[in-house]
Amino acid sequence: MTHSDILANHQAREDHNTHTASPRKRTLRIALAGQPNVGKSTVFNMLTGLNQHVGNWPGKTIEQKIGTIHLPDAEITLIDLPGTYSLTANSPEERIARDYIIREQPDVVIVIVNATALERNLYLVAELLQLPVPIVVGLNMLDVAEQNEMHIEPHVLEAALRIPVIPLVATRNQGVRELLDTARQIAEHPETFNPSRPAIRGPHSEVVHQVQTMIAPYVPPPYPEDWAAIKLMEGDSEVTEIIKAATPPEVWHQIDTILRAHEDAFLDIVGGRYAWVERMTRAAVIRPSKGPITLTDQIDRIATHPLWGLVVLSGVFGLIFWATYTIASPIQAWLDGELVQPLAMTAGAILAGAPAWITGLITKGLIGGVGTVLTFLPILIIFFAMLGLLEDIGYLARAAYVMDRFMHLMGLHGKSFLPLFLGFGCNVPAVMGTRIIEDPGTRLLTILLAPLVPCSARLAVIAFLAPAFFGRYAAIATWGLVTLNLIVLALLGVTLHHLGHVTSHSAFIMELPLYHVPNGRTIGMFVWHNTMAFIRKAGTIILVFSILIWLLSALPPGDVGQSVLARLGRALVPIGQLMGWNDWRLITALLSSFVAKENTIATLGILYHSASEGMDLAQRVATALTPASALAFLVVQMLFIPCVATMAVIRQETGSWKWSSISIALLLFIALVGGIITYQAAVLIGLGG
Amino acid sequence: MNKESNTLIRLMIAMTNGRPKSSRDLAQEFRMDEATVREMLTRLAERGYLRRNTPTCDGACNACPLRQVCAITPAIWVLSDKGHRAVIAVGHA
Repeated sequence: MTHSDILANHQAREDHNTHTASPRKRTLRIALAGQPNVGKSTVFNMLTGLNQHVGNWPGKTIEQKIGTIHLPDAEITLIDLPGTYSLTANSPEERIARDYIIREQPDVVIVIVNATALERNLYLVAELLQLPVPIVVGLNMLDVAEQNEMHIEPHVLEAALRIPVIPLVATRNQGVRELLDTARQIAEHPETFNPSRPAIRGPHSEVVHQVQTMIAPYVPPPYPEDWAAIKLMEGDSEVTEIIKAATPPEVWHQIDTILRAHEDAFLDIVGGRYAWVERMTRAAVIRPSKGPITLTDQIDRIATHPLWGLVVLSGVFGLIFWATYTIASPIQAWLDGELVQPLAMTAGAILAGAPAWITGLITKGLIGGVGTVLTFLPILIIFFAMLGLLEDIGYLARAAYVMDRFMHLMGLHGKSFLPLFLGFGCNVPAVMGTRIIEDPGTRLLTILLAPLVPCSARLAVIAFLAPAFFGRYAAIATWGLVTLNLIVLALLGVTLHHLGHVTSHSAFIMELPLYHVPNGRTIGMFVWHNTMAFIRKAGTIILVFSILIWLLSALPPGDVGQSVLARLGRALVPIGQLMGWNDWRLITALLSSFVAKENTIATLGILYHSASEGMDLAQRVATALTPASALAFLVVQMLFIPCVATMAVIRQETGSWKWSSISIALLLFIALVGGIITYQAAVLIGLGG
Repeated sequence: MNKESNTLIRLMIAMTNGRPKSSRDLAQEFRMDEATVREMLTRLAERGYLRRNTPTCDGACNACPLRQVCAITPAIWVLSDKGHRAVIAVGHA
């Protein structure tokens, strides 16, 4: 017999009595509860119409709505409780809702439940059932649930809950009146209310009874003793304060000792509610075999697949580089050829009468250095726009998820990928982001690996040079360079992982947002913030360093080939020759990237200034290199030690000069070996020597 | 409550096997709604069994030109020491 049948019997007896007793207008108080966005307000408005009073809950800034329902034989006051997910003391809304029910003791509580999120909504019902008040459930949004291929049997649910369950489509006023009638019947016959309540199983159930017995003489009315005991064991802060204040210190001390010893009772109590929810929904809900198949599900079948996810990720990166070279590189080359070079020549003409050092500083140092770096802007804008787009549609979280699994296969710590992923933007947050890793060994390993993730500045340098070096193969070459970095990173990770015996394997759960249509404004803001930051960098650190490089190249005055910078570069030419670099200017440019990666281009801009008219900077640099040495140059550029800002953060995060030095030495070694192997292999396959 | 019938404990055990998961993976594994799984994660975090972790660069990144990129990192949940102890207490080392 369902609850409706029991009520029907009572109603029949009531109808019989009505004919014999004198009619009397009853007054009832009904509270309306539910989680946020379940259609509670719609039900409230349908029932009360214009008979509403809106104010605030006493002492709170939370809106209170009270309505009146005038019926021929009853006057009903309907109180709209704040929307809450549960009845803990976590938020003012939850405190208001439970305090109202406990202190004001309404005749009945109507709980509006969203059929499309039944499990989640029934948790609130489970909590309400632990309070001494009868309940009626309004099962709303059944139509939406059906659209989602989720079939719910209200009668089966009612039989399981042993609570009246009224199907509703509140927006169409379907079932609302029946809900009110059922609530009235329950309010008038509370003795018929005998629901299935969540149980506390396991060892802690005995402890709850023990605590209940201990607090029983002291629980201030109208708090129910059993509820107070459960909430104490659950660790509810408000109830703990109330009981502590009402209990003699020696008794509280004993209770507190028990609570501390059984801290995990929380798991039994809350776990018991979820087990109850699971039992209630098991029979009443028929889901599609694998849940509703959303667009996100369909995309994720491929995007988060262990193998195809990597293929997609690789393709997405390829697409980013292709878009960068197709759209941004021509603009960059145009800016360099049509703006920077003419600007330098015009400035040179204007400053014809000025001292040579002023002309040199402005045309070579400022325009050649900073000016050239600023031509990066189209490349960075495209890069950031693509990154912002991928983030905004919800893909980047998947990229992290897929790569994380991949890194696990290599024996690396799962959480390492998240900070490393930040490294594609900038290595500094990548190193800082390792703070999420608790294990010191794994954290150190991740810090050592972070500089091998090519940051946007490194990628911009590559994007600048690759088209001149490799022509139409630039995108593939760049893709290969990024892949090489990631392979080196993985190999180094595996090696250090085994050498260091890092064994931490704690897993984690990642939130994957739903895919959605990108928002132009969000992406625009992302691009704007990052672009402006780059311009600030060009106006400060790159500007200062460009001047310094120019000074070193101009002193002593005369031939640049005899300058301080040239002497420093030449000292390193023997090493450079291992990779086919006979030109000291390349080595100097590479070294200058330690200050900021973009300085490679600034330095090249200064040192290759006007060396050959009619060619842009990248082409001029390309003439100094064979394909083999050019490839080695880019490989070293990609694997070289990070910028000084990253090194400073590595020092800060490791707290050790030793590990900072090891990081530099390791990366220098890897870059050198990588460059030499690349050059020698390229020569072997006939790319020139 | 034993570990088989307590979803909260099963959820924490799932976080000790060294493999990253999404809340969707867990929802499918436990045959529950993803919203319910996320709510469980929140409740466990409120009681100190889990930590919601997102890499941040704090104030030290203020000078970083690309600090906005920090915002793109997805949030993750990890087991706290208390969570590890609870898992061990039910006999799952």
